[in-house]
Amino acid sequence: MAERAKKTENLKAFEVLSDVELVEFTKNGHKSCFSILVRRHQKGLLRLSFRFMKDLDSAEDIVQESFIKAYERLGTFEGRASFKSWLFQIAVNTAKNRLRSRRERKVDIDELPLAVGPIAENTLVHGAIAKLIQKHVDDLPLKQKTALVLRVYEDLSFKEIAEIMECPYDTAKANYRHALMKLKEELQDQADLRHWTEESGFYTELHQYGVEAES
Amino acid sequence: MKKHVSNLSRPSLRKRAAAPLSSPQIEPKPKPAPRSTGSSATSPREILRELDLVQLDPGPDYFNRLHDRIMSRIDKIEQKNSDPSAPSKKCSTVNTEKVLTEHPVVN
Repeated sequence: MAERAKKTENLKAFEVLSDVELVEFTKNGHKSCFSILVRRHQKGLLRLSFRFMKDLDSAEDIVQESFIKAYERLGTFEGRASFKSWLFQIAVNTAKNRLRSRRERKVDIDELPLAVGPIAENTLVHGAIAKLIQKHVDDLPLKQKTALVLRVYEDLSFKEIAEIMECPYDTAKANYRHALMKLKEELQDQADLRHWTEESGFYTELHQYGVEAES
Repeated sequence: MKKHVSNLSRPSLRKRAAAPLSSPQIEPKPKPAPRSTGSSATSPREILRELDLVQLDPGPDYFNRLHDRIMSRIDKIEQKNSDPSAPSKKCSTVNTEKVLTEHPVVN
């Protein structure tokens, strides 16, 4: 019991360390430091993977595989990019490969079951609108979708997005901008969304993101 | 004696020096307005995030279990790597449990 308490105390001391410091400790044999990295990034990684895979089981597979790949390749991590960017890059590539093999097996991605839980009443309206938008996001070309997802959902900088997508900074920005423009075009044609988009300042926000991408 | 040449002989600097102090030449770029952080989801970003929560619905203890599964697989890799009798040093990253259920062997 006392040993366990001591262990927990030690772990708490490690929790204040930065990702890079935790990586260094892991490289030096402190496996519990990698456990902290898993706890720190698993939610974001699951969210990201879920957007690509559309079902929870596959998304979880991507998360597990990404962490294991990261652990195995930790020696190659030099800290030039952030650990988060590096980890997300592994996840994006793993998800892309998995989607490619799905296509090769001729599985219709749209027919895959969605892990949709019970929808609360107060989210029904928003849920319906969001599903419409989600459909348009899903229809975007993969590079544009990746840039949009990383920027809008994960709040990453264009520098980080470029690192994850392994492309120049300007290309990351261009993919993001094209995604927004395409989304705007699609949604302007939707009569169901017109009221909501005008009321909520959706286009203002799109414009704001556009300005950000231009600067 | 060498004659001191003023920097103001450069046309660009002359122009800048001539400009009144109250009118800066480089206008600061307008910063994008801060993104909405309100609790009621109205922006597309918030709505999509809300949808994510609804769709994912992984349950209260889900992330503890996910963490434990990842760490247990890493333990197995470590064990295999330290076991000299193991056939391969590098452990497969395929989740065999899932593969067996998802792709049954066809006779």
